[in-house]
Amino acid sequence: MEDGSIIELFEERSELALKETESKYGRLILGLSRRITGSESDAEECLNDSLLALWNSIPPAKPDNLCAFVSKIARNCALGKLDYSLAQKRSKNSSVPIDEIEALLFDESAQRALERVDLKLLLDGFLRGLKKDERVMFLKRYYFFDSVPEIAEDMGVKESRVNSQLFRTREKLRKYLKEGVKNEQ
Amino acid sequence: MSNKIINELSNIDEAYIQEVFDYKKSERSKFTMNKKKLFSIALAAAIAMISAVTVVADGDILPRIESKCLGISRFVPLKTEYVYLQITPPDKRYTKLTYDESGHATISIEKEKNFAIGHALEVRLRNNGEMFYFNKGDKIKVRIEVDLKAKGLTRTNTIEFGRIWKVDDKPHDLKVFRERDYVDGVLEFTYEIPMTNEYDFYIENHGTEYAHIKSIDIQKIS
Repeated sequence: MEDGSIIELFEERSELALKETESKYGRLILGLSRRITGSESDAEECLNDSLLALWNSIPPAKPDNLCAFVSKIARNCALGKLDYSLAQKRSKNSSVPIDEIEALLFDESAQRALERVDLKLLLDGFLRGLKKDERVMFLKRYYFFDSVPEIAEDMGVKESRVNSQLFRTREKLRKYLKEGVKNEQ
Repeated sequence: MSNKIINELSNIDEAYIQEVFDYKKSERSKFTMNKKKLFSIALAAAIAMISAVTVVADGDILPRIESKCLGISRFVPLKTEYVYLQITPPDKRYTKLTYDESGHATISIEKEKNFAIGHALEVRLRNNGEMFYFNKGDKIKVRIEVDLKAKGLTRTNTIEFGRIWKVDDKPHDLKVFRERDYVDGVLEFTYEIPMTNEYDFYIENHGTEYAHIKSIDIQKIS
């Protein structure tokens, strides 16, 4: 079923919308949730939570891009579950590369400053400045949390290329954020 | 903050997410193949024609650096995107160089004409966004000219030159040059590529004084 038709079903409050969404995007939600939470049962919970969140969001939301919208909701659900697991010290096999992102930390004052800036605006600006290949690779890794071998396979490049490209992009992001914070101050 | 970045990525423009879904492996393979093909043609042309990049800094208050790429017009169909020069720390002195149709390029440094102590001056040569590909044993000739009238080039100053390996983005095989290595303010040497790969080049000024670099010329000679 076309995305537009699914959205119409949501707007009509037809439960068929949930069935169609699960049929079309269930694998996407489960895969993303599984990578983030590292747990099959948590991923299944995320699927149900995501469908409920979609039901509660549409309407009033009318997404232009249902696929991206679904992935955002699933990502948020799974990250929430991961936070809970980390707090309970029972995080298992999460693929979220926190250590790689931690390398972006520069100093404490900048971190505090980053709390005050519009990070979404900065990230959008940063992504806009990347070349398409770089952007896709970056998002595969840090939005969808694909593993390096998966990215290499998907993009038809060697793993070493993925590693070095991601390293460069992280460095660019670190500098970009630092500049962004400095300009805000 | 790390979680903040990861969390905030959920709110990015949906067009970027869609772009990932739309990205097909075949797109990448085609892209890579075309680039390889174009690059091999370019490399052959480069060997035949001489590819050179000259970066010349003058002494204006707002110094201007011009680059003339001899024979680079042969590269124009490849849409050579940029050669850029970066001084670290990069604040407000980051500068980008873009080739025009004739193969000439101009870059400017906003603040300083001198490269301060410990600041790295990175000369990065890119072809269509990619590093240049070298075979083991390829040689490049490097010529660095400093202004003898300026304060730089003291006995304590050194210039380091090395290759930036694409795998770890760090300088390797650094050669260190001192005052005695210069003849009339000109340092000339040949650098042999130790193994086949893609490289940028790295030039850093170390010392207690500014090094006023007038020009840098890098030329592939084999």
